[in-house]
Amino acid sequence: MKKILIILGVSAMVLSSCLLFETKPEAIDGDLQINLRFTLPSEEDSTVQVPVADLPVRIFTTNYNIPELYDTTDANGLVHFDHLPYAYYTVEAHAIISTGGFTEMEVVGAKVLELVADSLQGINTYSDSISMESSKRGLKLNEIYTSGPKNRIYYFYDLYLELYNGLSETAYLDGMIILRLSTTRDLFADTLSVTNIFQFPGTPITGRQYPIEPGQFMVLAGKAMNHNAIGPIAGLSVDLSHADWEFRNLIEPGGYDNPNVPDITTNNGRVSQGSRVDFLVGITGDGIALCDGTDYDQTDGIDINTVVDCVEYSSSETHTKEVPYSLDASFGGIGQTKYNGESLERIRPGFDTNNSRVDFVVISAPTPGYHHE
Amino acid sequence: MNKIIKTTLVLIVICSSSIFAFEEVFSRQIDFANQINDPEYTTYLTANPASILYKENREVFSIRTIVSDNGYQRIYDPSSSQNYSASFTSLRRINDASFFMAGISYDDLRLVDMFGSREKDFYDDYFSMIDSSAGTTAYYGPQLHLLYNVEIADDLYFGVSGNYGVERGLKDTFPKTITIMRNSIYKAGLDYRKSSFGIGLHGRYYDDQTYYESVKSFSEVIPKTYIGYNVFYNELSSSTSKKKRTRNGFEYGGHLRLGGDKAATLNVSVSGLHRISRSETYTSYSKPRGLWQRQGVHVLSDLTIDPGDMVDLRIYGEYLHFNDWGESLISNALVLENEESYSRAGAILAYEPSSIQHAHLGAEIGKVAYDYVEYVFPFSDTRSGLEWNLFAGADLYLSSKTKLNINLEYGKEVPKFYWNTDYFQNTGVIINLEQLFSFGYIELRFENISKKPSNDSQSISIMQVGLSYRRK
Repeated sequence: MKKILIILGVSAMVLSSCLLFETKPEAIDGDLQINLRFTLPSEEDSTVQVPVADLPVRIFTTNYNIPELYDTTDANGLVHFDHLPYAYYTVEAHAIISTGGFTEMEVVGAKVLELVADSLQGINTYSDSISMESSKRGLKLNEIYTSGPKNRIYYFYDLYLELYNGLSETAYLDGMIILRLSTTRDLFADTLSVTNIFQFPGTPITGRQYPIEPGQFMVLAGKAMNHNAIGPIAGLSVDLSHADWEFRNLIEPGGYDNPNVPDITTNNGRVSQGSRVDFLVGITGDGIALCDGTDYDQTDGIDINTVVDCVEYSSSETHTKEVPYSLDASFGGIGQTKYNGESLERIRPGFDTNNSRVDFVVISAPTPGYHHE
Repeated sequence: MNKIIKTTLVLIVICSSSIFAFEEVFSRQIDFANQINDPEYTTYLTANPASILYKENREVFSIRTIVSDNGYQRIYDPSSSQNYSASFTSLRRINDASFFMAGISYDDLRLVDMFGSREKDFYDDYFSMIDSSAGTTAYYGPQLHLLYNVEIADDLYFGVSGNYGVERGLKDTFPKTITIMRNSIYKAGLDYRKSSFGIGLHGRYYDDQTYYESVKSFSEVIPKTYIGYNVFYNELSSSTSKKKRTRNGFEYGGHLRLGGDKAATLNVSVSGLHRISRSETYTSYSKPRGLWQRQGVHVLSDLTIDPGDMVDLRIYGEYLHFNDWGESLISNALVLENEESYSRAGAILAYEPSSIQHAHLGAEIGKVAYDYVEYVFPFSDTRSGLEWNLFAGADLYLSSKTKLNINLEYGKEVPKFYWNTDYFQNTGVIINLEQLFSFGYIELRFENISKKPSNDSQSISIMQVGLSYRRK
């Protein structure tokens, strides 16, 4: 019996040890090479792409704590990065190009590269071409602050949205609506599903009572109060008592209202709010749209053609997109943490390539009414 | 019988030659200076349970406290630590051919002011995790040890042992990382020993499961997984963050002893190691993060020359070499490689004017070499250096019932790059005072070890105080 036990024991050990072996991988991480070519539609023929030379290009990843890399395109519009790990990368190039004696054009080229092992399937060189576009100027959702200040009491009621007018003319907010979007399964839909709707007073399109001047920031507060006056978060939050607008749900029992700040509500009952709570959006993930207000009947969805600007954000890199691609090609806010005082803001005032992952950056503190450095 | 055993031995030798197995390399490093008189092993160079030799029943109860002050520390080391432990071991001879030993111990370890790390030892793994915490972690739990040794044929001994421990840890600050560790070690071996020579073979299987969980208290857990020691992967912040680490290892080895009772005795032990470690991170779903594997070889030998006079001489040597490679399971690519080797040689001169008096003086010198490479963001460190150690000790009988044992040690140690110093100057003092009473022996132990880095005025100080009771 003893002998059998010994033999069985030893055999089991030998067999198990063989099973423990793993094969050393042949591919080496950190060996990835990226070749990018930046082009611009030709002025003579927009169907022809011409290379952009001497263009400063920035590439970075939020996956690892590795430094950002910079390089400049050569005469053929090519730029090369090497010794990179497999990761998700954001490539961004921005330039002001002289198009004549007295004219300049601001162009951006940006792309999110999914260069993980599964997508590359063992290939360590990635090549792509990026066509540069003019940054679309207009009335934009410039900052979305929803994640709450640094606190341990689950406080996030200091949320606000910030608008920025990048147009060269005055825009008017009359009758415009702000939507909190609900999840859509159709990323090519022509209407938007709505969770909450709030509307500026006035008549859409033709109203001229509520202007926003070129280059002006406008703060739309969830609660227009000095949140820094609240004990546990004193000094950690923002003073929104002088916000430009305040969201208010008229059917919210005992809802807060700052009488000195105009309300974004139901526009005298024009839109109906089903929820009995104040303006709330997802702390680190949601979709928000600014629409011109010509379609305000959310029961059959809001017409996508009325959208002025739309942003989807999520802290999760693996988040499943919820907003149609035509409004936002991706989503911003990856890595944003709750209750940490972080905010989501465009990389430059009004900067918009219709790709929030590129357009927005997570900043360490909210900047109501101004842009981060 | 003999045929079966021979077949088994051949099988083990074949497998051992292809470099398998042992797990915890450093726990197996032999402290030659403290192995002057150890009656418990036929050769102390092996982990073979068949080589353990107890001739009488024994019961030992001990308590001890180890306090360390890390004036000099790495980023993720605690500023200090306290370990309180108690153990009880009982050994019974079943008959002339076999004995059984059982022991239980309980440890309570506090790692004070540990920044970021949610690991018990951040530097023990290539895929360690940190989070947004900084605080004190308490680890506590019991361990059970069992050993059975039997003479299965003339001069052929079989030994089997098991060690099972469960430990739980809790960090006292947000996000209050909970750690549950369970490890088990199983050993089996054969030892054929005659008076003039001995030969043995053994195997050891090691299994370690460690589970970490951090749960959102007020704000999100922000974990990061290191890939090596310089680059970390930003995990998604979430309300709950979990990690599971699984380690398995094998050791196969053999030893040879020549000489026995003769004037010169030669002991040689060879073993190979193979270890695999996997790290997986869980949030809403499982995400494997890393896997690393270690293989190596360990050779120990000593030659004891006992001319029969009051003086004997022991010359010893050790060689340890292993390779690691790590794979990121995010990219399924190689992310790091490591190669380490340690070789040392030493001599101990022992003076025993009587059976109750003993003194020894020793010196050793060795070479260490590290070659570490990370690929994710290029980093490499290659260094080597000479280490040396001087030591001396003596047993003094202060009275017929009181024994005092003193050991002194002074040496130089070349650490790995993450210690950020070229070398440590180590000083050690160990004092044991043993008193015989009518009910048994009581031993008081004091130990102080100081490690001073070459480039800093701060040092690491480890002090141990222990009290043990052994029945006669």
